[in-house]
Amino acid sequence: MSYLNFVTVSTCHGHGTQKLVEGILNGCGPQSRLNDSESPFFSKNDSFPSALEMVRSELAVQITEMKNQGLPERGRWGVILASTKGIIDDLIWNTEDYNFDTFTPILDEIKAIFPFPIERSLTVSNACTSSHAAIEMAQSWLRRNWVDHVFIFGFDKIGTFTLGGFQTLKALSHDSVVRPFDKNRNGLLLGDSSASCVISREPSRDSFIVGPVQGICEGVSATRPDISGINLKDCYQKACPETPDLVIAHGTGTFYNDATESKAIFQAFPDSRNIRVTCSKWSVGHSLGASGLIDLGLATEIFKQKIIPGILTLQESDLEVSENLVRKTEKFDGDNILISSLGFGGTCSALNVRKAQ
Amino acid sequence: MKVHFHSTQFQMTQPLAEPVWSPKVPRWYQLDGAAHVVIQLLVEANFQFDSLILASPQSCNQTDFDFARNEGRKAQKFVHTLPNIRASMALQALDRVCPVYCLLSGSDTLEVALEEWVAQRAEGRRPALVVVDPVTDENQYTAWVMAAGPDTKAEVKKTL
Repeated sequence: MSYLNFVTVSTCHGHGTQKLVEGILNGCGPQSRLNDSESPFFSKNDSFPSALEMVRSELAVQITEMKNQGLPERGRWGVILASTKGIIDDLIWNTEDYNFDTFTPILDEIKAIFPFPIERSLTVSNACTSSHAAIEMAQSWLRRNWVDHVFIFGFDKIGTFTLGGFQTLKALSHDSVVRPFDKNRNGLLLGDSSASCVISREPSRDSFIVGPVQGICEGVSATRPDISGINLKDCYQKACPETPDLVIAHGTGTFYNDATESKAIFQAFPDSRNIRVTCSKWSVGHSLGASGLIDLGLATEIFKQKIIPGILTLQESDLEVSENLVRKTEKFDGDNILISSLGFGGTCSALNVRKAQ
Repeated sequence: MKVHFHSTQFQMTQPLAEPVWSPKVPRWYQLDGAAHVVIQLLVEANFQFDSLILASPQSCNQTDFDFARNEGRKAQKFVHTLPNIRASMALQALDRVCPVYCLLSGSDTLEVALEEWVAQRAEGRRPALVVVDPVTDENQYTAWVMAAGPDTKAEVKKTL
């Protein structure tokens, strides 16, 4: 068992988990600088801040918030970066400066700014399940008694490289509206975000329990999950042996992703009728390596505020979970949330968050 | 403990020769060189494993570079800019499903990945560690894998 002792996010809605929920409740959509840009893809665009500048500023804010929460200074710390492409947009367009390492500069920034001595560090790059994989790795470090706390930072710069890649895949929403689980869903939007959390062996004030992360790679296709949902179902069942009160779905608004999650939820839990299902990407966009941590931040606010933000872009669903989907804000008095994640290459993962007693 | 070790290399030349595992990976001709060498490696080795640790000291940078620079960029090239796709395609060729950990730590990548392999093994798991190292100037890729042998009494005796 491990404890979530801190989590914060920076999204298009502002800084902090409260701002995240406010933004979702207000119905704001993804506001990536690039989604609405007319800038040509596949070229360096100097009008956007460098990724490393973004890392510096967001890390500074998030670590200050962490310190202000009074986390224990004693103990051995590890840090993990969860990222899919790191700061690639800072490097890829400039042949002379391209040094073939898009992750280490971010880890170096964390090490430079982190207030406590760091025992070990690592980057986990498991596509869009990187946050979940990083938490799993953190839990391993705690279990092996290598460290007492792990600081995880999730970040991916949404730049011309990443956005252009998703465009070639035809995965972006045609009309700039993300409609997860909707009959007329037509793709995702990307969102600039970062998030961080601290996973510890011992609880602190206002901790949450994070169950063992269950992840798997099914090797079915490079671009879509096994649409039977069977492997994702297994992840759900192992991560959450008891039926969850709420599933925060990956909910990208892409055809196969949402259909697979819908099937997996229904197959995994016999009494699935009572499970509520919501998601965040319709509002904050898909932030790739940080997305799981953002949903973790959302889960903690759902526990604190006792409300579930709805999926305001949802109109009509023909999926199994249609009746489970939260369309408008609902009250929440549960104590068991499952967070789902999927990524390219058939990687899927799930984790369970509960309130510490 | 007996440790199995296997290494291989792959030259990315055009036109590509059809690999033996092509029936399991229908679009094998779309793979990048690193994915080719990882699949070739694991098919040749045929080791048993229940988790796969993929250490890519240079991440997918050559593929990133090729994707960004080449005209007519294609979706199938973009997905190979993610390191876990290599593992995914190898599992597809082997008909397997298992956890995958794509680990990077700059110049410490190999050390970190080895440490993870030893720790997982100590916990009773049977991990395979795959290390991919592109030789970028020559379109040549090398890779190696290590996995623990079975822990039967007979195997231990034979090893001793």
